[in-house]
Amino acid sequence: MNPPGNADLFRLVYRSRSAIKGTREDVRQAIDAILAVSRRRNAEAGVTGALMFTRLFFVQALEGPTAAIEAIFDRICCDLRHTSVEVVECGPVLEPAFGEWPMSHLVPDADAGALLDRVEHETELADAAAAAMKLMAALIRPEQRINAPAQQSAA
Amino acid sequence: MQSVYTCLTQAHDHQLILLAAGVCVVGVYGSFTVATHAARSEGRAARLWGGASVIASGCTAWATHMIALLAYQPGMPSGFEPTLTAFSLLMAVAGIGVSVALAIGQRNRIRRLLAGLVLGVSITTLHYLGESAYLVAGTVTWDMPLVAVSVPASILMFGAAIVVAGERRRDLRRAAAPLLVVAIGVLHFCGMAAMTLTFDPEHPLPPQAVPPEVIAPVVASVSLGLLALAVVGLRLTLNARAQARRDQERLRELANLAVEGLAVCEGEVITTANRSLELLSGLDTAELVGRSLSALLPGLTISTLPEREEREAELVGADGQRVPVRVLRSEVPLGGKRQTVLAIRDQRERLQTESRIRTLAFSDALTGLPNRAHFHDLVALHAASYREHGRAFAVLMLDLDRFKLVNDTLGHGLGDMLLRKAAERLKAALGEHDLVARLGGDEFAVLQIDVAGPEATHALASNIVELIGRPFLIDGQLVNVGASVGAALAPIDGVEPDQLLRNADLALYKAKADGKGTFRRFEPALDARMQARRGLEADLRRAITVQEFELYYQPLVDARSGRITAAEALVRWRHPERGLVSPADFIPLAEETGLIGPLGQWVLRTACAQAARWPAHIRVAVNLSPAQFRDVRLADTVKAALAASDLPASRLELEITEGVLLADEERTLATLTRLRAAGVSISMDDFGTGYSSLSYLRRFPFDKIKVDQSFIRQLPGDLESAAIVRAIITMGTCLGMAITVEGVETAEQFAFSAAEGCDQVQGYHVSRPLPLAEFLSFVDAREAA
Repeated sequence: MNPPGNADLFRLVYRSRSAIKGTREDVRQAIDAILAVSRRRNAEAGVTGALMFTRLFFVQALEGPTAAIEAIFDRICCDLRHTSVEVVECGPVLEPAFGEWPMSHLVPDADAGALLDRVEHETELADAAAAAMKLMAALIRPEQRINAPAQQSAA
Repeated sequence: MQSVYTCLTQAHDHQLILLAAGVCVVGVYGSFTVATHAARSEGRAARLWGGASVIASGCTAWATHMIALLAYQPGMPSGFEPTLTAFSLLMAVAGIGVSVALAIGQRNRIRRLLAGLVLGVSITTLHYLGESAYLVAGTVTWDMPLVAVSVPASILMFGAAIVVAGERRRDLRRAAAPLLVVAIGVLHFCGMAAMTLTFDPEHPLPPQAVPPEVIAPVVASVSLGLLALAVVGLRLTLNARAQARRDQERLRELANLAVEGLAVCEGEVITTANRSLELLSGLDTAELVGRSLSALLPGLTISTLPEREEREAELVGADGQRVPVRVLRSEVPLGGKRQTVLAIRDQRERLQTESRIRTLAFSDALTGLPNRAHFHDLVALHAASYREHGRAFAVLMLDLDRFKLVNDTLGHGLGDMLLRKAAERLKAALGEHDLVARLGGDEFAVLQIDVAGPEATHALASNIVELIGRPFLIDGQLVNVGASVGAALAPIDGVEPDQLLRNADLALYKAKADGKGTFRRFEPALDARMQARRGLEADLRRAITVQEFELYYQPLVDARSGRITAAEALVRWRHPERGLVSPADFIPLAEETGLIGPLGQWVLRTACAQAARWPAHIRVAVNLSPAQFRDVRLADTVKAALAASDLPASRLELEITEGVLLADEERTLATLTRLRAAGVSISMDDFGTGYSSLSYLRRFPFDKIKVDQSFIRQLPGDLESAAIVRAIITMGTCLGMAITVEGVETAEQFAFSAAEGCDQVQGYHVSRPLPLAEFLSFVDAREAA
């Protein structure tokens, strides 16, 4: 039932508002830097996940051992490049839903439309969260064969 | 001179001359070893061995002389005059004895010269007495000039030999033995050469002359005695050497046991080192021996180091690493001479311990941040620096909102983790030179340095509020707290450290009062308010001791019959200057300062005592604050008040608000259950103003719900309020709880409440709160009606 390798699998998804200032290029460089650091650290800690950036918001999903997720989240919460950190989902899970990459970079395209609007403008966190999960799942599915995270987030 | 040479080469039996030399060497060796042993011994043994040594030396000189005479071949019958021969032996012994007595332990050269001269004279006496005791069948003529030159020369050489023997310089000392040998040689051979023997049958040997054949065994036995003595001396020397070796070995073992590094030095050079010094320096003995002290302990001049006084120094080890040490120099007699011994003590452990103690004393063990004492020092330091350089700085005080709740409900272990993580986030919020300290509990403080202006402090405070406000993930649990921050800026808000800390604290107090998760800067009005508050607090303390409080009672009437069924006790403070003070002005302060404890007890006791004298159907309602619930003895206090007043428990109602239930629910519920078990009724006060009220109603079976007056005030016009009141009444009825409506001010409101089925009504429409006497008259009037 529970594969032994995943005995301690913890998932944390959060949304936060970007505080990165500057031109589009500055922002892109900052995001690349964040991704590079996060990929290295996640690989070391055996953590996988995905980062979605909507120009206003970050939504990041982290999956891995509880202690590793805790350490990474501690670092994320010491970072002043984003504000209004809100945890969307947090708890033990049976299977990863965001792929096997240390940190996939998800870029919402024009098709995302309404979902993206809800992620960015929905005042109720639960609704914004559901939209974010759905959007991330949609973005990640073409690349990797995984379970739909939207179903799990509904739990 | 020719005669001296001829004398040496031709007139002597060479084998006997060699024997004389051999006896001399053996005798001298024996005398010296025995003398050395005498020097090592003490008391009687020293005197005995010393005497033996002197006698042996005398005998040596005599035997050498005698054998040399026996070696002389004058070519005519010869013999010895026995008395003079014996006398010469005595003179030799006595002369050497006097000489040794003069020389012993003397550093003075004149004394040594004198001793040497005495020795020379005695040996000369021995020689010439010996020669005059030498009899031949012939005549003896003397080469007087040779005697006159050789005797003083020889005596002077004796003197010189003894002088140099006592010198400090080794090379000079080494010259002593050859000088002595030359002196003896000159004396003997010149003496022999100066003597010319002419055979003359007219001069036969006198009858008392002892022939050489007779004297030879005597000399031989003396020589054998000397040989025996030399053997004894050899044994003594070997023993002494073995003893010295054992002593040295033991000393080395002892030195190796020492924790301190020890180095024996000769001048600036190490000659011996113990194992501790090897370990300390990382050099082995071979590398240490011969190393100069300045290489091992640079900057330390050994000659200027006072004895028995420790000095700080640095030891340079094998790989160049520097070890802090303390060095103690002492001069110790070792192996018969004084040597410099350095004790070198490793200071690393002590310094580490000291630094650890300092760290412990000045930092908080949980977070590793500076502690309160250290922070105060830092603020004082910057205040002083401000006075010198005018660099502005700010003090920020903060505490974690809801920390107590987290700590109480999720456990102290998790609380500690939270504090550690909070400390990390605070560090992330700081500027490069800013400092954060943990003052205790969930209180932190920040020293912001080089503040450009109030905006900089504001930005820092915002960062702190932002970072601490983010969720914490601890052991898979999400924990949310927040930070309230108060700040004081130097020099605007004060320059003195105490003043800054106090003002930042006042600002924090204000931030918390204004809603958590905010930042406030100090403003003078806060100070004024705080002064007023302090004044009030002092007043309140006094008021509790002198009992300036009174109880007013507001009647509760049955909604249908209009009869008084209960009265709520309300405390009033009759201040001697300010008149009647409203509970709203002093109850919160009493709760904060803990004065609510004694005040609440007084209210409870007084209400019970007064109600006991009312008509039996009128109950009394007393309010309990959350602070009173923190006291685990609350149930006992209530029972004691009932017992003291003889009021039946069924006539006491205790009113609590939701605030009571918020903290530590388990304990609160236990207390409520105990009170209920004692027969006291429990009412839920101000119902509808808080949140999650319904779950509390489910968890604890209240006897009564009092609908908050904010709903009643809008009645009956406001439809929503009417609906809420109606819903609460219905719900209460279904749960079997009585419903009281508070704040009924008009007849319409009363009518509405009664019509909707509420049980009791309270409010100005019935009566305002009344002093006891007026309340009793009111009861009388109602009862009579």
